[in-house]
Amino acid sequence: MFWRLGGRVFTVACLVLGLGMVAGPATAADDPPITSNWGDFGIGTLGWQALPGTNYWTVLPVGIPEDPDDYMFKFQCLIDQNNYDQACLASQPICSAGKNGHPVLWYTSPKRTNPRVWTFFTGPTCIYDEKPKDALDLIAENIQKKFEESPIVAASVVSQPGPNTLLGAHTNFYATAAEQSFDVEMFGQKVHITATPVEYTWSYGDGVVVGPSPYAGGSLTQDRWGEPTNTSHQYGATGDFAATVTTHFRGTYSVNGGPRLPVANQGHFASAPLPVSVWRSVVKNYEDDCIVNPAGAGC
Amino acid sequence: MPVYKPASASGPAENVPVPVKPALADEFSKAGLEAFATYWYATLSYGFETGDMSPMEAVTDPSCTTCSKVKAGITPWHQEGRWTIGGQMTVNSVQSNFVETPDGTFQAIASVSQGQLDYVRADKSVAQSLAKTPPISDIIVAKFIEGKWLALTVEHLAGK
Repeated sequence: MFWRLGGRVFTVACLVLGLGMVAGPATAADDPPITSNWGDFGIGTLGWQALPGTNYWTVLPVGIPEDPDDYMFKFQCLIDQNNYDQACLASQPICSAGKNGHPVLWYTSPKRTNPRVWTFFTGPTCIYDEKPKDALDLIAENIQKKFEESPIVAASVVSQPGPNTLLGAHTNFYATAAEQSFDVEMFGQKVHITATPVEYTWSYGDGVVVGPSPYAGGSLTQDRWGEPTNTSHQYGATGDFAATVTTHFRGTYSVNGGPRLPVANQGHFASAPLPVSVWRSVVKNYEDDCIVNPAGAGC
Repeated sequence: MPVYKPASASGPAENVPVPVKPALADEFSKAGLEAFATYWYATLSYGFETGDMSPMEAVTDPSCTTCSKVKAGITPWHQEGRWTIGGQMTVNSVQSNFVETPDGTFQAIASVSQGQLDYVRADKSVAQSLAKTPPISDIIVAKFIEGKWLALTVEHLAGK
């Protein structure tokens, strides 16, 4: 991002100098293009996953890795069980958006670090309930269902060509799905749910099902129709078919502005079926000249 | 004895001490790899502070792409009178299971944070100010070659 910004600014500077203006004091135009920190520089191209059954991490060839971190929270000012140090609470944010609000701090640790080493992540944020611990547990238990019931808009599907295509031709399909987020209330807490499309299962209507795969496919310009793609399909029979794609969404949720926690299982949302008519093409060659003989075969 | 002076709004850091690799960081053991990982971040920190990546490069394989990205960003900035303020790396935790992977490497997992980092121009104007990062989970993939650890990859666990 910074690189692109820097590049654009640099181009402008060249124009200005080209017009014969005198360079002034140091400005953004003279800056080297990349300024960032380890947070950005350290992003690799690979997704690491704790490989089950081993003691090491491995890179994923496809797909989206799970969250590599675990999270926990601690109540601020908690003396024991249900007693809070009131003087300490006075210096904390006021958690009055619901009943029995308590400030908490969130901590994070890389998964599989054993013993866990928790480092401060964010906070203080608020948790509300008679027994706030229970509220978070209840949300964790119910978030899967809530996520799957969210009004997530499934992908829209397009075929190229469409709706009519030819037997044996590489018919290109692509899906368009967007990240979506929802604000809901669960057990008195404000919960922000985000659904990110990560994988697709293609069902072409003729019994062929492909996926889940990370491929959403993409639009081809008309001169390239008929080329095989990651998501194209060749129908082996003529007829009318209904192609669908099921989009697999990964969910995260955040309670009262706390960290984004993963929803354990993906949500699956099927798109509306796309009608596809598969036709046979027959080529016949005629040698009549239709101008000379307008009644000839094929004229 | 030159005195270390951290960078400030009025000038770059002076006499930044070059990180010293502890003997433990050359040991072929769990504790050795963990000490090596900690040392690696000290060289990264030194790089951000001075623009000099040579201590990091001395213990890192050239194939480490995130490492080249840091160098491409930081080294040119530290030229022509520009400097940076802050950006020190803190290692919150580092742990290795000390298990050899199928390709003969060893891994350590670190949680690190970087302090506020300001990019300052020669005329003392601030080009960019980046806030302290939250804890970042990194993987350090290293190989033990000729009595020393060599970092092959250091990057965030959550990739692109």
